[in-house]
Amino acid sequence: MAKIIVACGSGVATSQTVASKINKLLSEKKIKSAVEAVDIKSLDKFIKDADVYVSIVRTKKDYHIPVINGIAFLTGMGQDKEFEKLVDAIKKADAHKVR
Amino acid sequence: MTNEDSQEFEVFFKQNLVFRDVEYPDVSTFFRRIADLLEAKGYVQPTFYQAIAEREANYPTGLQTASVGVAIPHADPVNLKKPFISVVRPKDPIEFSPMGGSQNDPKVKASIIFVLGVTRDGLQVKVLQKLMAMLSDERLTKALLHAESDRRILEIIERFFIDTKASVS
Repeated sequence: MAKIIVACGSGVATSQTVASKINKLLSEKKIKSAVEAVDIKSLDKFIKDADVYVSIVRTKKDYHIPVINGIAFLTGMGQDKEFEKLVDAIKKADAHKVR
Repeated sequence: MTNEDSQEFEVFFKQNLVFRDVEYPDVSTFFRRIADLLEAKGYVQPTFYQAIAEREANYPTGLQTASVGVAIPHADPVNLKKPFISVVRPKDPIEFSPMGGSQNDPKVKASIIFVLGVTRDGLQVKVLQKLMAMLSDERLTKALLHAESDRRILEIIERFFIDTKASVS
């Protein structure tokens, strides 16, 4: 099962809201995954075993995993496209894990 | 069902926390004034101003929805005394840096600002989901921008909160 990490400044408001939205969209598609919201300071710790990073804050680091624009899930603008990218990334991660 | 939803509304929204048609020369003046008001009304700790200004500088909260520029500034819950959401409709839009962006990116001209005094109790997710759904609806944002009283602004929000399930997408 793919692990998705969502990070914002505090891990309280925006990341939780985006995580909840993504959970809902994925369950509608019957895609199983683990979505977790964290604060940006603990991102380095949590991202080690994550498959996809949903970003709400600017980052210069390269985490070597697919990055999805989380703001789209907040405003609804460009959401379909980002969700498609997310689903692709999850499928790739799951396929990799089976092998 | 309706009861729970209206409670959620009542926890956060208060008529004395709606500020309409006030002029703010810039975002830091805005934070200073709002923090002072919220502190005087007993909603926040004296640390709130510094906390919210610093957080906004590091993690900006300007958001452009399909119909309006908004901002949802907030600070760590340790700086709060009790939960609230303050609704501010400035006379002229206030420039916020975009969420996920930096100081160098084009600013979001925020016509409506929701100062979020939320904690980790789970309600914050429901409330923010509803706010964002509401702000994506052009009809409702127009109504909010043109409402002629504080009371009317809260009526629009309350009606949306009660009529819409938490699972809005």
